[in-house]
Amino acid sequence: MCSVNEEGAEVFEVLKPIEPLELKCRKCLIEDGNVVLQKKFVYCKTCFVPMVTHKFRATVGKSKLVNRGERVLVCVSGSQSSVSLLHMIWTGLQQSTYKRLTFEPVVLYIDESVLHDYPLDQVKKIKELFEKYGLTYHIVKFSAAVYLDNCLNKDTNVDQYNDKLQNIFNNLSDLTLKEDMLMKLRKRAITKLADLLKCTRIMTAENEHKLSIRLLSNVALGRGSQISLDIGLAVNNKNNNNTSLVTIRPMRNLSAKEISYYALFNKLDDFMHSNFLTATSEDESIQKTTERFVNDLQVDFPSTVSTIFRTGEKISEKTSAIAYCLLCQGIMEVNVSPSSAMEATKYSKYVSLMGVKALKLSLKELKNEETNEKNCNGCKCRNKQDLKEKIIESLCYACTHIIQELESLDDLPEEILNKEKERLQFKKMEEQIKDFLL
Amino acid sequence: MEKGLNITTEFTSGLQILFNNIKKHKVVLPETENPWTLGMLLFWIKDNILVDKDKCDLFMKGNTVRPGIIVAVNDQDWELLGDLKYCIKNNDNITFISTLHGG
Ligand SMILES: [Zn+2]
Ligand SMILES: [Zn+2]
Repeated sequence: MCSVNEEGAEVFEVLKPIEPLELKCRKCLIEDGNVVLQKKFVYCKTCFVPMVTHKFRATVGKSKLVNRGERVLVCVSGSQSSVSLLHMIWTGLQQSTYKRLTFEPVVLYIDESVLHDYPLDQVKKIKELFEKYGLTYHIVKFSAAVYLDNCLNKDTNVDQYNDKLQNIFNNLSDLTLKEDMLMKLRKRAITKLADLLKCTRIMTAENEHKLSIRLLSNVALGRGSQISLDIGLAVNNKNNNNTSLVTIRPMRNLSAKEISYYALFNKLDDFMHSNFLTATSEDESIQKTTERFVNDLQVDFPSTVSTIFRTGEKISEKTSAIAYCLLCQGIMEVNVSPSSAMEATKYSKYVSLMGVKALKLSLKELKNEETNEKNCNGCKCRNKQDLKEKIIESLCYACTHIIQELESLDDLPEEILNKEKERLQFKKMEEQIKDFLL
Repeated sequence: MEKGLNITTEFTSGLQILFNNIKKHKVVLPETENPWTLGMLLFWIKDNILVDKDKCDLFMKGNTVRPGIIVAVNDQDWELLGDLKYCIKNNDNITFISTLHGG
């Protein structure tokens, strides 16, 4: 199926048998069906909801991901997937003893209204929803979560941080990078809040469909080595100082359709949850192009998503990685072999810049050449440019694209800048004492 | 004497952005010679309640819904009802759910 071109797809279509759908539920064989999954499996409402819940519980229960009484940060964005996750957890907490979920959920909503136009009463409605469930919850402004350590304090004025955050995104003209940056900052915010709220597990609501699109987009963005981090069931956040923080994706075995009908049958109201790609054209970003590609295939080949997803699962991270990106905390390629795609990109960029001269110089010399060119003596831009170049050394391939577009680094969260300065100082020190070391 | 059809259309999971941020729309479909089908309804929605006509391709593709949008009539999958060919009945509740990310 991977090599389907237009003609190929047509041939496939003709061969597709046109079988009339069974109208009765395949489980109870009595009730009329309500939902069709993968164009062939028919379920009635009564059998469908437990089936979906069971899949969720099976994923959570797998290999004892969560311990009894453990604090779990449940991230609710307002999307249909996330309100369904909340409902499943709440239902799980109500069940009789032996089936009851035994962890302690802490519900989190990050208010991103600084970046997107949301209805004014959205936060109020989210609050009402959380109150109804009666679970511990926190509603935090996005900019506070990105920039402040005491972001749980609601009285802090966040205006200046709102400006900083908006600045970053205004600086990025490319939708692909904007969306990528948003994902990374969200992740940072969630990790920080988990820490502050003393949670050792994070649950997010991505479904199979979303993760498949993320998988393919990641490859296109040059985040191939970070795939298992971004789509895995349980991912240990190794970059975090206390190594026990694990992100769990309990909805990853559910399809988008299963979740939509779960929400419909349980009358779950979802909320506006925008990103930079909301209502944008499909040609403007890698992520949307990928989404269309997957969705269009899915129309005729109902197993497209699960095929992509199962393939992605087979990709596992290389254990040799020791460096983590300063911005996205993803695995960084260090000491890449000269034949890697990354080096090839570098080389082709270099050749197109230098022309025939390139053939005479080796790639190593290129580095020196580059630094010589960039040292524009004595002008003011130098320091800033310097820090930018230095910080890029601590970033993964995909994140360098984001940072390169930023006019100034001042709007980045301070902890990133501080960490970089720390690293540079350490490097300098190492340089200085190098001669004294045996 | 037969009058138009009273139905409810609902747009959720981000689709409401295209409809003035309102999810539920109670509408009356005018009387026609041929019975109303879901296929006809799509075009009627496009002409009558879709706010920004330029964004039509976020709702429709060709003569059907854009891939990634789920359609249910009274909580029943339209795939079980003959999809575009389904004949709409009075008081039907027709739901359009987007599975696209961020709407
Ligand atoms: Zn049944
Ligand atoms: Zn990175």
